[in-house]
Amino acid sequence: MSMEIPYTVEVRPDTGLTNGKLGIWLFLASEVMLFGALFASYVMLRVGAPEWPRGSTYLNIPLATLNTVILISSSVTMVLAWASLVKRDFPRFRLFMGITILCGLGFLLVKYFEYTAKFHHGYFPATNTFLAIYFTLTGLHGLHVIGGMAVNGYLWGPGSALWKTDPTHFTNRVENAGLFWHLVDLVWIFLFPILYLL
Amino acid sequence: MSESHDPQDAQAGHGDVDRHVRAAYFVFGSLLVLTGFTVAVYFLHLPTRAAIALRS
Repeated sequence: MSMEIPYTVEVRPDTGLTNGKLGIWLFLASEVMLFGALFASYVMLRVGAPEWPRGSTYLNIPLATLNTVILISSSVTMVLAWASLVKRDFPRFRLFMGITILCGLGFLLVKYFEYTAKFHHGYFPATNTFLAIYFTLTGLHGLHVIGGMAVNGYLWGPGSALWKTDPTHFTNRVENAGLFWHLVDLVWIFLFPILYLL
Repeated sequence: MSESHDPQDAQAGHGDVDRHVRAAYFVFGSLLVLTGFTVAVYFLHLPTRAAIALRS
């Protein structure tokens, strides 16, 4: 026996949103608080430290710039994937969602090279406060990228079966996944200058 | 991204979607330019005050 979950397609009159969208916004609010707390910790650690290294002492700025370009590009392809569904063009959705997933993979690959280079040089979270907050913030962000890719991968693959039975519901799911992906992008937009450039 | 994607409303929704796509391109372009500018300023090795003034 299956039960229909209400307000997955039509907007709920009291909130003005579908349940899924309200849920994702609440989740994003909790994410903002999580990263906000970590950014505040970074500020406290930095202003309390007698000296603070320049990012380039430990970090590779050209690689991080490349990662920034990859991630902001993936936000555009995510929007294009959603727009394709609204225009009822499923193959185009597949293409752009696939590119978004590949961008996520590219980001993680670059991050892998960055991390391994640091470990080779003997730089670990325990080395100093800067590296501790660097690994904490970028590691948590990397986990979010993996999470977003898992959701996007599901929507690209097995989850896309919903398109045939309930296209509007599927489009809403992609939209919600897109909102999360934009947050992941936004967090990196803050992380990059704070850790690497300032 | 818009609230409703009802396929029944597809025709009316397309204009709305195109606006969102244009906004996404604008944000993408702005971020690209600002990222390039910020990185360029970093490599100029300016004194602290000048660097803050340029980046803000």
